[in-house]
Amino acid sequence: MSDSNPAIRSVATESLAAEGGAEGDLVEVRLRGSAELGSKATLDEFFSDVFAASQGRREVIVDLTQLEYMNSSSLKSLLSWIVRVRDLPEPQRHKIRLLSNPELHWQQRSLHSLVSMCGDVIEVEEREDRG
Amino acid sequence: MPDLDNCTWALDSHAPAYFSTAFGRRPKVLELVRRFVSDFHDRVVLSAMPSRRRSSPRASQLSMAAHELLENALVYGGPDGGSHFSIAIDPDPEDPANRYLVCIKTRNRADSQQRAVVCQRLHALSEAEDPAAYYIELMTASARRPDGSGLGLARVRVEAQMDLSCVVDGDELEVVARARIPREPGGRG
Repeated sequence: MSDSNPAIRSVATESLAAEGGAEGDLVEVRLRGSAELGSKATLDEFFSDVFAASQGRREVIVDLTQLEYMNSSSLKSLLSWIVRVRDLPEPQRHKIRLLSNPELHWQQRSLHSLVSMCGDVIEVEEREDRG
Repeated sequence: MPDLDNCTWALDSHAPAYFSTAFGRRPKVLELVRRFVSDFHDRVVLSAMPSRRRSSPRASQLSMAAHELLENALVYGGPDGGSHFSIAIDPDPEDPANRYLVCIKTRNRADSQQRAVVCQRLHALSEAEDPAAYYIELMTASARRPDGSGLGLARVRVEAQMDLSCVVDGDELEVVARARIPREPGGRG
């Protein structure tokens, strides 16, 4: 694994925090708070970092268990990153595992929609809020 | 946003519960409205004291719809335009003993282009044989487009399972989302 992959810059707005890092062949990122009006540009940059940092890795785990809400613009940001990964040539493509919180009902519906579209690269795993 | 304990609505199960207000363009409003709609549903339909922790699945659907519609109204209403929001939960006239009719409305000033876009999107949604499949098509197209998502209305239709319509009144646009929901055991009435 190359250590020269760029770092994932943490972001924090009034309503949203996102952070992540790579270790071995895994990248782990976590979103907390609420992705609201104005979050899309922040998330676009964040997922651009994640994309760059995940080159050559086996899997990216996205922890959404503390993400209270995601508006449709922010959902598009997540979706665009997933599609970018799916568009990679097979040998470079990694898996994406989304950790969802069953108590946050919007996640069941919205992540189901993502799986319907990109089930070949993502899987959803229910987890309790990891606080 | 008022505290629910200070709002008044009829507690008779055959009376409507209604709330209406107007907003300027402040992002924080969206979070407040989401919470309010969730609490409003749980209080009216479930007779449950609002939980600060988690909302019920139905309340989550309604609060998502409220968020998406009001966000559109705030964004396209312009910096000076007030956006109006209302939610009503009434006994369903077609089956008042067993169902409620939920109606969420937003109203904002809109230019002719926005009015046309919204009406076109709602028409396409209403014509779609399989709204869920249509939503996936929209997501696929949106993922590769740099500008706005164009997903909000379809998300309300598919994920919140609400029917959508719009009314153009001069330079104002009203978007209406409706859903029939069952009365819950132990709820009002």
